Amino acid sequence: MGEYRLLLKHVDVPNYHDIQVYEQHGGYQALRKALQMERQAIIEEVKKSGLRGRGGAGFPAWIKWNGLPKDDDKPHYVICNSDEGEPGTFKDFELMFKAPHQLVEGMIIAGYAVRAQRGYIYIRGEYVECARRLRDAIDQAYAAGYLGTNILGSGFDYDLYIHMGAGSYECGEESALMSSLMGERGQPRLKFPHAPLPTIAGVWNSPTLINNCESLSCVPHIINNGGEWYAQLGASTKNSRGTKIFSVSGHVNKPGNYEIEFGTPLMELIEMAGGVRGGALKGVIPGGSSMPILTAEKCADAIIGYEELMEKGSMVGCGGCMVLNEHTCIVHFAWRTAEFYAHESCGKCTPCREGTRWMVQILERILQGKGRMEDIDLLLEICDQIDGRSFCALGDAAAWPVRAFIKNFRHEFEYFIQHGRSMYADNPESQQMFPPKGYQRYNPMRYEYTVGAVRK
Amino acid sequence: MPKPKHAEPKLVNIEINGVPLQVPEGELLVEAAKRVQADIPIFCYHKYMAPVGMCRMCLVEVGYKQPDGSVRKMPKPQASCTLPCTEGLVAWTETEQIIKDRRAVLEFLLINHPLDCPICDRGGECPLQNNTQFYGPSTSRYIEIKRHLPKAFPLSKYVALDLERCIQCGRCVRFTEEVSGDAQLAFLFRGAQTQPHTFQLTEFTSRFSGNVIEICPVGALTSRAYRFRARPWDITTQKTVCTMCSNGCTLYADSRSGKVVRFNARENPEVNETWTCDRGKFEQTYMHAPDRILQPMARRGKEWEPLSWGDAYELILQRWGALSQQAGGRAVAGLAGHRLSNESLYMLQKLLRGAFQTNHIDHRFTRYQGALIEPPVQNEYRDLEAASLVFVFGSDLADEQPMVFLRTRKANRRYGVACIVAYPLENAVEEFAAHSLRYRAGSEDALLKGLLYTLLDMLPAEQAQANLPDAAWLRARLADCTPAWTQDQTGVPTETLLAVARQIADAPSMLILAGEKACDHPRAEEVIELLHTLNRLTGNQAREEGGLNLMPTGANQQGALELGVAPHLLPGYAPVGDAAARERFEQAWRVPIPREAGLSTDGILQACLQGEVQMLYVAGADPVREHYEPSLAERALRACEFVIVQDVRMTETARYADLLLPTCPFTEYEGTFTSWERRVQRFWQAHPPQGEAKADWQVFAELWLRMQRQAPPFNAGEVMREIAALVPAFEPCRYDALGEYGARLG
Repeated sequence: MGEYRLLLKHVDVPNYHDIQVYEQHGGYQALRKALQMERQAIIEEVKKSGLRGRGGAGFPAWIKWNGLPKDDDKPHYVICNSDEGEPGTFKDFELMFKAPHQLVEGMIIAGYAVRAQRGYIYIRGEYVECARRLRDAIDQAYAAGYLGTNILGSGFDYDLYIHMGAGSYECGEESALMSSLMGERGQPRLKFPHAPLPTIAGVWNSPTLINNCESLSCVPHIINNGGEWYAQLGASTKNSRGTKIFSVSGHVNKPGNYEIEFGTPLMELIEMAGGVRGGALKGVIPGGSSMPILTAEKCADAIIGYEELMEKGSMVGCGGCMVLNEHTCIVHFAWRTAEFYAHESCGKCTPCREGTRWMVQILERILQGKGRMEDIDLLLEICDQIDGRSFCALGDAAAWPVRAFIKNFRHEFEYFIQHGRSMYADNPESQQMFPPKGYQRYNPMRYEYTVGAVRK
Repeated sequence: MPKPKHAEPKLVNIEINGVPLQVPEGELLVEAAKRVQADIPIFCYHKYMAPVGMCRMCLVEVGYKQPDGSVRKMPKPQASCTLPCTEGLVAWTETEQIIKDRRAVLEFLLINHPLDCPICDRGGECPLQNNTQFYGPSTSRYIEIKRHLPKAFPLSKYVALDLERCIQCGRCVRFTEEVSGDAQLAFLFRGAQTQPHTFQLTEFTSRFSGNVIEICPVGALTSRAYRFRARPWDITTQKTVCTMCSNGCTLYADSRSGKVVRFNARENPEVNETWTCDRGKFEQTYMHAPDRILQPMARRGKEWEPLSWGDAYELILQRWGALSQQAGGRAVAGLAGHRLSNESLYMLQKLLRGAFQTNHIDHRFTRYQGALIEPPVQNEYRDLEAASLVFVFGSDLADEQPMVFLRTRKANRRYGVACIVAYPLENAVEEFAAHSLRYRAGSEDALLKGLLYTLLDMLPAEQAQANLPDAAWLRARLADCTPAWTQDQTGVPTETLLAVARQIADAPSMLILAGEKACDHPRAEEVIELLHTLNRLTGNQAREEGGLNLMPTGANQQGALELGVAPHLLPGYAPVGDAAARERFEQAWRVPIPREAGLSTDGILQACLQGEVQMLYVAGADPVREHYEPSLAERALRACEFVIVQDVRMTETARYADLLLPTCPFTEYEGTFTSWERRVQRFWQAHPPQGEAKADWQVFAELWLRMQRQAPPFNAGEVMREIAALVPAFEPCRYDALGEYGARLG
């Protein structure tokens, strides 16, 4: 089916981040059109488009849009979640860096549709360049009258703000993001049914619409071309519509962002990225490091789509497609993934805080050649104890990959434990992610995390 | 919205473990489960704090009944501590999956826990220990290195922190943020390094820091005063009531071999919920002071000569015998302290009025010693949440009334009750108050006049007239007290005064808490009269949730008023001059009572100086330190011929005594106290009396026996029965009727 560039259509145009170039390519036409429409009609268009959240969960976007109260006097907020922290994902970076106005336009339309007065773009702390680009874009939009008071004479007032995160992965979780935005500790908050939905009581206890950067960037295209047109894209899948940007990385020849229609075979995506590098395919993690790995056999006939990939045992996630070739040591890979989640666990709930650390400790021991056979089942049980028991999805995200690695490549773990070294230790092709010699994440003698040491 | 005082909750139908039941809508599942005795283990959940669902110990399986009658089960187990009950909720708390999940959470919690229970203060009363016993795995599969962190880190004078034992439940952090409001503890770092600590290693200087020790579900936060002093299985626990202020917090006194080793909070939803202040928890040590009086002693020159109780009584009777021949009851006076029980206070005034034939009896040491004829407090704790505005006047609330402060803060945070504070200095209420009036110290009366002037302008004339019939007269009296004049007098800016007046005028109800600056003002009579006027003008005197409260400071100061330890009042606010009331008491006591009202504290002290009062009975009071003018008290005591001091320890006043009588502190006898909100609560004997100390009421009863030849009451319960028979308000306070949470008078 090939690449289908919708959001990334003009990103290679020089100076596309500039408002004039953006307008030359049809920019802000959707906003003009939307401001003429009834608010409910916009939500209907989004409903017809079948747009599902691009942040990972795939929740139908229109339900959120429709969920905000329509006749209250509380302030409404729109938040763009650009805290792209998932390892292997870099789609938002390109969207914000190269097409900032597309996002700004989407946010204004969303704000208009849900009667918001303010929008916040929560950007990952490391994306300084994006924040600069967006800041310039917002300034230009204010100057052009697309933001501020009485936008394009419609009587609609809307302000847009940028908020930089401090680099915590957890703040990409929507309730933690809202806590962080309000200046609180970046920890998740209670969710439905324990607390009202963000659309009723979100940031500052007011109705809040929170969408992923990519979802909001889709909005101008949906308004321009109509929801029905958008819904035709990916019509071959069960319930996934439109296009999705996949950030292909790992052992491929041309890593980068590739936008495809839903329904494209997974292997085609890998071919687009120049095919597997350095050997045959071993497995693909299609949706970012928190998603379970797909083995080469499963990849062969995998179709990209929310339900389609779910049937294969993985998920679309946020589109961080990581490709591994046959020389990759899965034990090392599992350790590196687990270490990331242990580092990023916010510490709020017990299973995630203690379980992720324990998993890293076990994997570290295996890497040091001191593994025991029962450690493999122990790891699986720890995964079961975390999965679904943690406060937010970070715990699940830590458990899924490790469980999938063990289930699919158990023999590698067994080999490692039996021989005390990797199956690929003598393989010159193998690029291994060794921990530095003597490295121990939770070295009890490392005192930088203890307060008493500071006082000494 | 303020919480209505008498609201009927809406009920919903739910089902727990197959048992259908009705609960108020929105009640948390973990609370609802208690109704059917379904055990749900918890760590982070606390009944009086907002739920967070962090520890994942309380997971249960949950489903919702669908319209067709089937149950749709949620795919993941849910934290029951955060799940509000809604119609059709179905929960299972004991499924195989849940048992497994609990074991998993406990295994996780224990992998870093040092398991040093044998040397841990919490061992034996530790929720982690208990939950592990009931729900945990028998062994751990963890063979890696545990987290190592500093042990016994001194956070403050009272609290030590052992980070290795911490299970990061966040109770302490949430307490300082939510309840005490000083936010002195926070989580540092993240993930497995998360640890609660003070910011920047500053000292943990909260007024309520002791609470974190009690709510800690492990031994991470321990009391430095109690550390290693006792184990839970060798202490005896007794229910008691705090005596450090008038708030009436219910406590447990834990004693070991006749010595109280610590006080813990006892739950009372109507009073202190489960909180205590540091003063009550750590500083209440006077019962074990080294200068306890342990036997009766009489002065012989510069020396103290020990006496037996019999000789001591004989000495008093001798003195009285001589006096009664000449001056009679006019030459005898009594001063009562604020830590005497209701029974003791009643017996004291009965003794003085009946046996010594005098009405010279008082308990007040502030400048306000007016002839009150009705209770100076109108409200109770619950009203703080029901009122729409709380006006704190002349009180450093957090210091004077710690628990009232916490409840006010809760009312503001949870129910949006507005607060206005008027105090000359920086104070803790300002943190959440809508307005703060920092007036020049001493200008309380001017501030009130200015406020009344402005209110008279703002309130509709007919409303003012209806609330206050003499409004016109008041208007004329306050004609000069314009906002500009007020600013000149008090330093409060005109616009602040106007904003405050506007808020008061608009508030549907207002509750005034008047503190020490009002009741101990040099022109206290006038300030209090102005406060009453403000209360009447705004119509709050007639309201249930509004009103004026002149806050007492001593533990049983309110009880002293209720029980007639005042020169002009018999028990139950019956005026001494009222012949019918007097007759009632005369009949019951079988003695005549003098007709004229006696002298108040100041009068008594002056009379001592002039030699009119020759025998002064000071019971549990320390006028030299408590009276607003210590030198007057000192001179009076020196001048008085025969001073009996009956106290727990060698106070300043005791140095001037001619006869010292040892009495029990509240941990050594039983009785009741009346808190500021007129709530009578019982306390029990926690350990046997030291030395020859006797309960105050017992001393008075024995004197009564010797002087009147009447059978004395045998125990405190009998005294209360006598009070209840004479004062109808005390009817619900008979010991057999008095419930766990006490009873309010009237």
